[in-house]
Amino acid sequence: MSSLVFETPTKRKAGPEVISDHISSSAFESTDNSELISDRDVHKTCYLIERSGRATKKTKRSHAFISLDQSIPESHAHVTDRWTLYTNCIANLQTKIENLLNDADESTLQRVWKYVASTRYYDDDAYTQLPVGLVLAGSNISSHTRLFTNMSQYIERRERRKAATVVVALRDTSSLREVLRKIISQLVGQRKTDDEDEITAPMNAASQSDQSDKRLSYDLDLLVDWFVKQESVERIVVIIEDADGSDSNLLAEVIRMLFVYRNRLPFVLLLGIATNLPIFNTKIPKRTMRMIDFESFDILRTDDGLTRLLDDVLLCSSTKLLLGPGLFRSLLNRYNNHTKNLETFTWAIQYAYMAHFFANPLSIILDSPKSIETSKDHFIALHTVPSFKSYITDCISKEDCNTKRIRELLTDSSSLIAFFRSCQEEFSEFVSRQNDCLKLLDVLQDASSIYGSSIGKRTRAELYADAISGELRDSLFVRELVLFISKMSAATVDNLSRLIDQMFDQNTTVGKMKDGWNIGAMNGKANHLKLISNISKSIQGFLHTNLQSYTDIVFHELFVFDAVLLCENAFAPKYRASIEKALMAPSFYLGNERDSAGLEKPFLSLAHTLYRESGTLINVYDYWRAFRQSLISSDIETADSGGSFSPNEDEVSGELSPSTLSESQTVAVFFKVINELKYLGFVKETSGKRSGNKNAVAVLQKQVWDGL
Amino acid sequence: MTSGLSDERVQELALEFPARFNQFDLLNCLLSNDNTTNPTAIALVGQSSSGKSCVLRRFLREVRLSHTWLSCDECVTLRVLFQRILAALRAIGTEDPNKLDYGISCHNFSLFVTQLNDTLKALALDEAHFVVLDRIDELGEPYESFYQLIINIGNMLRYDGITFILVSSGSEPRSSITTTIPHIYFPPYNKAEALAILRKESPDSIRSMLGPTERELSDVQLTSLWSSFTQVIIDTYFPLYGPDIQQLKATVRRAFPTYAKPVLDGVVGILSSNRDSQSGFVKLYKINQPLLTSEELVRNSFVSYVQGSTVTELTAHHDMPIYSKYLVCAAYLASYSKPRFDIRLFSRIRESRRRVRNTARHKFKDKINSRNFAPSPFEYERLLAIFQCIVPDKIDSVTDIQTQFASLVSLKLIARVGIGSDSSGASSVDILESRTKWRVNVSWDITLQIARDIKLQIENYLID
Repeated sequence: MSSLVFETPTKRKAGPEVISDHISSSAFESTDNSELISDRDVHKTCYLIERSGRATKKTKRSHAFISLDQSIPESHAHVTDRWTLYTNCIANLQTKIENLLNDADESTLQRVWKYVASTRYYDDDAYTQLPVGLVLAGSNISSHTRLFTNMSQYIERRERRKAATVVVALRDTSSLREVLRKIISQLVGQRKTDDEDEITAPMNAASQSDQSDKRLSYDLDLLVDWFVKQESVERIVVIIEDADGSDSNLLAEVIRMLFVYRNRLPFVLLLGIATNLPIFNTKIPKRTMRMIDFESFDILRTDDGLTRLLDDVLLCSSTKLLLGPGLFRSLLNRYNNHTKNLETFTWAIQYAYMAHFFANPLSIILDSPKSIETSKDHFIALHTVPSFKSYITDCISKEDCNTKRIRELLTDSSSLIAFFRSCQEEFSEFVSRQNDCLKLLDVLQDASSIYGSSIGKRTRAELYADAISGELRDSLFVRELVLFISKMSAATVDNLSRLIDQMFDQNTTVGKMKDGWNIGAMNGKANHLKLISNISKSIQGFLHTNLQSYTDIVFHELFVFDAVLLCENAFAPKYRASIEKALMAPSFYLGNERDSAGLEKPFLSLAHTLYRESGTLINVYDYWRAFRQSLISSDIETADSGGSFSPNEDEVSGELSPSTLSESQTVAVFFKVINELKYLGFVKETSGKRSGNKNAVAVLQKQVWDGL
Repeated sequence: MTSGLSDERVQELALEFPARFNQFDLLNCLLSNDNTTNPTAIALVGQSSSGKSCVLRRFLREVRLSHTWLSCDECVTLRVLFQRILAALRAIGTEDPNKLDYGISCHNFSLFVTQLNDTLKALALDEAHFVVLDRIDELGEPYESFYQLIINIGNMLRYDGITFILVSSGSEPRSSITTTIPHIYFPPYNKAEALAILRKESPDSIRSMLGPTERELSDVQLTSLWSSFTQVIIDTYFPLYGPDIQQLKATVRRAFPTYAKPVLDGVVGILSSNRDSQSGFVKLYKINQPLLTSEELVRNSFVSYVQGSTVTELTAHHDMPIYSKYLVCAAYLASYSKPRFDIRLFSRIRESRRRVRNTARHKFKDKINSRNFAPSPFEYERLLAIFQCIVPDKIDSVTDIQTQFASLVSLKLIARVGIGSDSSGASSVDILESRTKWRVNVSWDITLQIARDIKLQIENYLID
């Protein structure tokens, strides 16, 4: 267990940082064991370690899904169907998400590029400042590498070889020399491949043994020589990915250096900032500030991103699966409180899709109900879906119950399929109506004065969970909005109609509803009152009928995925609880299904039990005595419980079992256990001297605080 | 064979540079073509932008002394500087003096002296040569010992003919303050001198500042506009920038196009007669008052500039996650409150709050506000405990908290203690040790701002 702690890459960072999720461009990338600890990998969320060597060829499946025989006896074809359905869905989803993310970036990239292109280069003016673009990229450092690589490519593409770009990460460098060396080697090296013939003299003296040029590799004169030879390059764009993650001194030095050379090299500096400007401001000396001429760019207004995500991905017309309110709330909370990262949000959505199709055998029906036509088991399973059951119960309890239809549904597969189809249609209509409702609420808030300010406004993402669970219907929020409509002035009516025109097409339900109001057809106060009462009535009616709960739909279990705990555990595991649970009840993880009382605990677990029972400071001798005692007692217990577990003993606790331990072995085991506890971060050694005792007593101090 | 300037010529030169007659005179006395009379080193000292470099440059050009000009701020390390000095010297007398030969590399002082001697021997100078080390105080490395070396280099050189001119705007290194090399001091300009310098701009360069315009102004008009403008700028910004001519010139350049716009648009007329120009100036001044009073021209902060435009609202969206803000606040509290007060400040048990000790006794002792001290290190567990106390709702110890902590560390808002701030990995602490210590790296102002964002009354948790 303790060895796990060491296998995480700890090249430069230790402590909690190790478990950090600095996600690199590709979130899930498999790495070889040997490659694991390399600098490149330090910033990844997830390490997929592939088993090397004995690859088993037995499992030659084309996909990752397994047959879920425990719930429904599935045929192989069904599993494959489920897999293809899943891959189709997810591919569709991914393209949408990617478009969304790229679109969001695109506009900023364009603005940055325009800025870069607009900078002028004065070769003789002593008063030019260094043009600096401050790119506010948001606090999710993980996506920065991707973003700035994109940016550099974008600029190079747009400028058509007129700009040379370099991306530098200050976290990899510790001194000005290294930064300059990187910039120079990237540029000089990069162009070398383009026109090899032009550059005859090797630029980098450090790497090549040319006698004629012994300049140091960080001498910017090298770059000047290179630049003079370039005909096409008009700008040198230096992108610093993590401007505020660096030592402030280093950044200031880099800026000063580029500033000094500004009249000979047309530098444009782009700084990626993960915090906000006030914080960044404190890190830059005033003196440096005078050297630069800056403009700031905002990469992505993430809240807008969420709204778009809702529009384009979750509530679009082709949606087959909806996120349940509980799940969405938990994701939104995590987004606001912990990540502020749209990418992680989309991963969670993908995970939800995957979990649904992986674990629900009935999910194949979402594609087309035909796929289960021949399978009787699926029909039986469909009958057991709770919403269907309650639907049937409702039907029966009605007075004018159509017994024939119910019988058909229960016995005839084709009528059940037809019924399911109608449910599916109802669902897709539900989705589009929810979308309309949310948009309408958005518009109403914009038009109203109470919610119009950005502080009070509830975004569509915030309303989503309440909306689809039906809690919004007749809620205080909606009532207030309707009240506002019934009091609005003529100007507000115009404003509202304009906003509706912006948001909705003419042909949509809302558009038609708006046409029905005949705004502007009549004047006069009485007419106005009539008009707004008309509007408020129609809007109230619209919201009332359309803000249904998804639970009203039969078979909603198949359309809505709402496994909150599953996703929470996957994305935000409770590490401390898990470690403690593993130590307290090792049988849970060791996978012994039988009575755990008879199971022998690992030594570490025994020591941990004693640890929990002691105070803040633990005398080592006492600890050892107690440990030995508990070893003996556990030995007796094992003996008492009969020999049925004896074959297992060795497997559980390694080669040593308490019954065979000699005194010295016990001591060895104890030392091992103490060290393991130390490396798990539970204890630390202190000398007892602090308490005034001159004879040092070996004491362990507890490190982990309770309840954190 | 001395070719010093005549007194009249010095006078003429001094007209170009206000208040620099003495300096020209001294330079004229000290430096000459004769390679035997020159000192091995002289120093030009004075505040930044007090005209050291340009006076020297003008003088060297006027007297036609053979010289090499090296800007030390371009050199990241001394090695680069050594290399450049040697390369420049070796290029003297070759067919193409601009083609430098970088075939030598030089690692330390003694090697430099040796190679310098070799170079001088090969050159066999019969005229004096000057090596100007401009902005020596802005060398990328500590320059004190190099300064010392240059001052004493006369003792180490076996060949005459070379003189180093050290131009520095910082104060001289203490060790070289009592040396006997000649110093030329450049006193800071006063207001009138600064104004005179700003007014020295030629009409053509003023015109180029305006860029292409529809309405052409005559030279006289331009000059009168310019002189009134410079007067305004000096009156406004001299108290702020002092005699920093560079800053003043930069400001003038930034402001002038906007300032002159009403004139170019014909809103304000500039006429030759004196009275009209007075009223024209007043009108122009009134139009431009917002420009002169705004912070637009004094851009020394990202924030105030941004607040002037509409970007502030945008940046609000770029916030950290909520719990990251709480973590920063918790880290600040952990760094700036002593662990012995923890129970009193953070515990919800009444018992602990009741016994507030009278701290009046210590009042005089701890006179300095603790916020002015460096933050003290804290343990990770303590941070988590404080974090749990200040967040409104109960949070399980999910990995997201650790992730955010790690992000804050890479943003340098929280720093690890014991590990050097550079990421080279050199540290005195075992990084595998389970115990880690941290300290907050954010000032009180920023913390307060963050706390306000999340509506946390952070003052309640601090004892001041």
